[in-house]
Amino acid sequence: MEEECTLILLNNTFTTISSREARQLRVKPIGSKWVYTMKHNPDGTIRYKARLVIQGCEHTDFGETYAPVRKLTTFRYLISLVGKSGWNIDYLDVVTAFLNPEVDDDDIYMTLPEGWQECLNTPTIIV
Amino acid sequence: MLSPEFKQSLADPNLYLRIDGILMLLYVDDISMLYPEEATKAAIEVKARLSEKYTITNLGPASQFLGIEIHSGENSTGIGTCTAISLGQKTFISTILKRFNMQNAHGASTPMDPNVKLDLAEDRGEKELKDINGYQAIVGSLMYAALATRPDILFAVAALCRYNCCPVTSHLTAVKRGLQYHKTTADFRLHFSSTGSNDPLTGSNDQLTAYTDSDWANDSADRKSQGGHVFLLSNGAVSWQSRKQDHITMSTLEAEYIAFSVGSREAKWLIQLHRDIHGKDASLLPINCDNQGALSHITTGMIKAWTKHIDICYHNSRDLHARMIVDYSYVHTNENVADILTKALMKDKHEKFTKVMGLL
Repeated sequence: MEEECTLILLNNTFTTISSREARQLRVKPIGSKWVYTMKHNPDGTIRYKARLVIQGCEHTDFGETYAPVRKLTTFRYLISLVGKSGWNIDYLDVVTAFLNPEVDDDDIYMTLPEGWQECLNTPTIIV
Repeated sequence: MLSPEFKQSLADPNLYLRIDGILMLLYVDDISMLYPEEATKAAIEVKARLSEKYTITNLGPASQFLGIEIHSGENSTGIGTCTAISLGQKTFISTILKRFNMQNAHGASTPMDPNVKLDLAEDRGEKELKDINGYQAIVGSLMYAALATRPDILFAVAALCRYNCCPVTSHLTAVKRGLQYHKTTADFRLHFSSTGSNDPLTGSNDQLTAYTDSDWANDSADRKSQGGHVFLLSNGAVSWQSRKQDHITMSTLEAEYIAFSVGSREAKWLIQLHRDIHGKDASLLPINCDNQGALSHITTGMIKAWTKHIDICYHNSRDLHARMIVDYSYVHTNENVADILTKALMKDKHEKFTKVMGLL
């Protein structure tokens, strides 16, 4: 959870505004929550992961959301080329990929997640 | 996301290419990077640039992807050593066998019994299963294996998932047979290698080769036909499909003609992918089928009294033939690999075609 918090701050995912400002903007903030998962490391140890999610079901005004998912055929096609010509394959993993892209259109307003340090004085935040 | 020197592939928007041969394939946050030996230096530099921008863990040479294990290594054959690469799902298969309590079951040599008729089981008055979700879960798990590395079970899975909403006892028996087959073949991997030749027609394995087939009116409930196609490259299957055709067809010729058409659509996409990767057009792509009538229908472009009703959307193969993009030819039924995708086969034939697809 701490790791996710640090990365959220590092990526400038959102800035906080006070509830009074939010009222002036006449926006309804979207809820948020933490999702916890248990992941198994290759060496057999268990790692707990926390991810902050926005409750997208409350989001009404959305444009395009897209995550690149590749076709398995392309994957196999490339693998067969590797078999043919002896290329190298390397595998990279982007840490917390979903925090990286820019939200291009309007700002999205979200209530602060539970346990967020500053949530005492600023209950609404803006992405 | 990537710097401008990488060009996005038209055929697959998640594939990015650079002129010196570095390819990047994205899957949400996972990047597979492929490069030829001589571009190693450039690849290291790209990686460094990426990690400047994002926090990236470099997992080194790829070993698995979405539960698909990637094995690579030297493969010595009679002709000489060559690099070979194979894809397998042993861990996934042993997980599903355990999950459905089949790890101690007897094995089976084919995924489906050719003598069992599934389509009219309901009419025979068999009782509907209580645990429909359980049935669906098994079919779903088998489906992932079938789509990722196991074309040999695709027909069985496609046939079984038709009964997802109302499975009866004999469907459950059939789905368990699928699991039993997995017990025997858990170690099967899809092999890709560059030496040796599987295809006597072209004599070359570097060329993408396709087979299409159909089983006319095999579903006795609605009399629709099953169509299927498989594309082989580097001695392994890269693309496959098994699907019940949308229309009721009047003859085997028509069913095969539609199978050709569906196969040709996939062929066009693969040709585009080839062009994106290699920067040049692919040579004539051979597609084989076992029906002379359908073949002459494409090559001569004739319309006869019994075929004049065939829809325009299925005539695309004629166009591809006329433009010399695809080379349609005849292959005997016993050599048509796509047969495995249209019906449940006997053991001998099943093993033969499985091997030709690079699964061993």
